[in-house]
Amino acid sequence: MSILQDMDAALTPIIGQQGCVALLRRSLHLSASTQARLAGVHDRAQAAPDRAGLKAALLELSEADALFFGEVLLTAFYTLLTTLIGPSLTARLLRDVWEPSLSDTPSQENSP
Amino acid sequence: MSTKVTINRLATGVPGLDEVLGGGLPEFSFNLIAGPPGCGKTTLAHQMMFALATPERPALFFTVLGEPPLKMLRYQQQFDFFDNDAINQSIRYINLADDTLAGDLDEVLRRIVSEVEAHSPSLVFVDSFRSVVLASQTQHNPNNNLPQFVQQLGMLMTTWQATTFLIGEYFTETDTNPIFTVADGLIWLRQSVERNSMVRKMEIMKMRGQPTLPGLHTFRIASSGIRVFAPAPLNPDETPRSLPMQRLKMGVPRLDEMLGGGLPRGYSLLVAGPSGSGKSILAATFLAEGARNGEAGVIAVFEQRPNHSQNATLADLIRSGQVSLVDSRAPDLSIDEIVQLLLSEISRLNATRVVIDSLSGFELALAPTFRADFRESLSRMVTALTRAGVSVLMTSELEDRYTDLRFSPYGTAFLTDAIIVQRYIEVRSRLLRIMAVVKVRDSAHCDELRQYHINDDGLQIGEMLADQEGLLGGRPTTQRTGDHND
Repeated sequence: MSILQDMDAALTPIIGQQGCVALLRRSLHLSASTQARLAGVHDRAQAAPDRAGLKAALLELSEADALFFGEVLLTAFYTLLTTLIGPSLTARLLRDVWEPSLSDTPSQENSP
Repeated sequence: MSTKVTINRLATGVPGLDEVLGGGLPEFSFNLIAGPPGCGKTTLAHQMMFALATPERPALFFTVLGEPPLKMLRYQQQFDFFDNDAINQSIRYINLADDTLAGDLDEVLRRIVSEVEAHSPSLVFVDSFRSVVLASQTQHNPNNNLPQFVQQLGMLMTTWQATTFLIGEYFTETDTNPIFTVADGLIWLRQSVERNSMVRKMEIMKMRGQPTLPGLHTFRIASSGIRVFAPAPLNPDETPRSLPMQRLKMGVPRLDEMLGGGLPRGYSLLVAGPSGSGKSILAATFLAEGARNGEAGVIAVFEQRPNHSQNATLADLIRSGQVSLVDSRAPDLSIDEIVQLLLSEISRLNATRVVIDSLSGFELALAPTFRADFRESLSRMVTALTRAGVSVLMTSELEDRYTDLRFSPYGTAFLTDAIIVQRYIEVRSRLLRIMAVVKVRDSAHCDELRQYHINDDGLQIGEMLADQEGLLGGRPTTQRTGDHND
């Protein structure tokens, strides 16, 4: 949830509040269509498709499901942005948000 | 010592634009990029932004209503100048859609100012400014404070030492718009459509404090971005022709002698003749002779099929790099573009000989919108090329007419320094070719009509047909028959 919030914060100045909400809606839709067990969350979150609505929907899930859902959603969001503006610019815009969560990979790369 | 302020001119990074602007973009100026949708306003803004922004003095790109930022990022990154690494470093995009939707110009101004204060940018863009205006008008606000808003924005941006661009869709430059008055610079982009060709044109309507190049300048948008074709600068100090006159060998035996010793260096020569008379062969021989003497050449071919595949000599020269081939088939070709192509090839190869084959094909290759000005444009091209110090040979298709003596279908003969004309004649049921040197400026030349034929070695010039007269009428008669041929 905090990653999503950070992503939102990184993107809203550039593409606007409405742009971010639109991306989130599409990500939700994509997540639900690939993971049937997330369809219920999708329906609930679609009712209020912003971070608050999503948070409410997530709170109804078990911790494992919420983590799983969050991961699927974030991946969908990232992939969606990549198809729109390319991997390199997506990475650039979300660098500060995404990199800490992927810290395992860079640290391995940095090791001699 | 001068105490006047010096206005720095920024190099825009758009090829040709600095010349058209009259030396670059004045620092801290407040400009409007205007034009109809699709004319390249946002692209022009991006290209300048990526060229000028630095991490210390970044650029702020305010997106308002209009093209959604995601789409803009998606499309703009297709251009070579778009550098992902610059985003959020030297270039920051800021979305003002929500503030604009509210229709409160004061709030929009406040947002812009706070971002400018936070980042101290050297460049500020507002895209599209038109939507700011429209949003404020939908409020039916009787006290539409647009003039005040523009005036304040202009003042604040200059105070914060930011060079500013407002981007907007405007269709007519006669609108009484406060922004036209406040702006230091007005750059209009246009699309001129005629038949099947579309030509992009740019006009600098206003740029305070500097002599811009007046008129419409064509530009092209490619993957490298925008390229403006500024007219070739005419060097006022034309180098005086050195005396004694230096002459170039033509490569055709006896032709040099007919020209009075060869073509004077720096001259333009028109070779006019009907189809099949050997104009292109003469042109190829001219380049080959140059290459033999270590002179590089440039040839611009405007035939339906580039004839370098047809002429082995020329094909070899092109392959070996001694001659550069300019073969532009763009449907929106302008004279300025072709002149730039030629001049850049001339300076790349240090070339001294240039061939344009042919003027007839050249006229067809130009976009329809330029054809009305063909003679003026041709005159500019010949001047630009000869001032660059090269010798130019142009061929011109000539319809065979026997009732008048013509040298070119365009009345362009006066533009050139020398003219060779070729004709067909009928003698004893054979089609023979004759040629003559009609003019070599400031030089004596042969006045004979010489018969010539074409073989594998090129043009072979023979003797006068001394016993024939009325050759230019096409049907000569043996002398002293008394039978006048009309």
